[in-house]
Amino acid sequence: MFRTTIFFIALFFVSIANQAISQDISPERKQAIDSLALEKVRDLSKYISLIGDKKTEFSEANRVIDRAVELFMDDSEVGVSSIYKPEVNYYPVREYLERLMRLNYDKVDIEWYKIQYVSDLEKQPDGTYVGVITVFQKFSGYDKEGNLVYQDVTKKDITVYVKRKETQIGGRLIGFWDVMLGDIRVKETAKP
Amino acid sequence: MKRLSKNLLIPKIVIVLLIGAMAVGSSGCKSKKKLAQEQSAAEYAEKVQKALADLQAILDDDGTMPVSEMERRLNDVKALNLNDDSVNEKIELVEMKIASLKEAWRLQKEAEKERERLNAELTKYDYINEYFKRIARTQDVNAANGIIDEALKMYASEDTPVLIIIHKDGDAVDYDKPTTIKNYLNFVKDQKAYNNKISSVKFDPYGQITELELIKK
Repeated sequence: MFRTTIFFIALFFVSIANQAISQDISPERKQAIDSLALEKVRDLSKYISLIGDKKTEFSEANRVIDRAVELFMDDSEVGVSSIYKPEVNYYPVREYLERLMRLNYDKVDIEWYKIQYVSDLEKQPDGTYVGVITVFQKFSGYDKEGNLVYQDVTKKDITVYVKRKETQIGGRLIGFWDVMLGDIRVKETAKP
Repeated sequence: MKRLSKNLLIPKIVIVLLIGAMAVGSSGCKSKKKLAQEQSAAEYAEKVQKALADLQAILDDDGTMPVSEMERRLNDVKALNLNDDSVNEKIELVEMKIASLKEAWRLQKEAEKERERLNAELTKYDYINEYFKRIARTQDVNAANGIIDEALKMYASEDTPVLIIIHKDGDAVDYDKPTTIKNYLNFVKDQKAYNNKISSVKFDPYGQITELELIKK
């Protein structure tokens, strides 16, 4: 009798645990989170383009760097490659962006395209969703005569972390999804 | 003797005549009553038929008769107090039809009111949206900064919170990471895009915005 009771109690808890797992976020909600993470990468793409653009005023570029850095987790790194060197150098995000701002070209065009998930956001045991988004970056550097002096296309993988957080605003508890970008890894670099 | 018998004969005749007259009078009275009864029955039957026809006309109506007219006709029929089963049955059906029409009309009015309210709600914050759209459209950074300075005057402070809803399912609301109005205005300038719409706005007693809630389009 005692064993039977224990068995049913165990069964009850197992069914509750199963319910908790099945009550995970709905597909529509997951879709919204997927889109949000993709959007953050697109925002970064615009920031990088602005920072690299020689027409962007220094103060504006610095403000944009601050905003871009906010998109990343602490200690994240960005890989830099060249068609002339096989190795990839990794820099902390702020350093990468500041180097980008100071590049020795008279005009720089940076375009990100084919921004898509290469690995879907998956829930980790700590509740964080982790995925990988791949982008193609076309970099074009021009001299003062407007001649194209360097151009490459780099495929990059960006790890994204999405975590549910809460904050108080106006006495209200707000539940939000915090999207943080991790390292940007260079996968391949080629001439266009 | 002959005189006596003659005297007796006269009252007899009178009695017979009287009885005869009474008999004739009574039968005439009876047929009048019957006639009146028949006439009344015919009238009643006619009223029932007319009432049934009026009620059926209401039931058959496909929307041309106003509800007020239906009610007037129904009340006329009810005032007749016909107490006829078939009429009562139809009265019940007509009452049901009128009630359902009134309910449909009420719901329609409510829906119209809700549409009007939503339209008013949508246009109410056009002036706030317009700043975002202008900033997104402006190519020149300095001009965009000018619009940002102008827009900031509507807010209680540069740190006024901006919440962006990314998903809503009933009471369950998911937001993007909260930001401030200054950062959001700059974000719109940097991205050259404004893809949200206003969900709600909170004001302080001076009419300045203290919280802005946006929702993704």
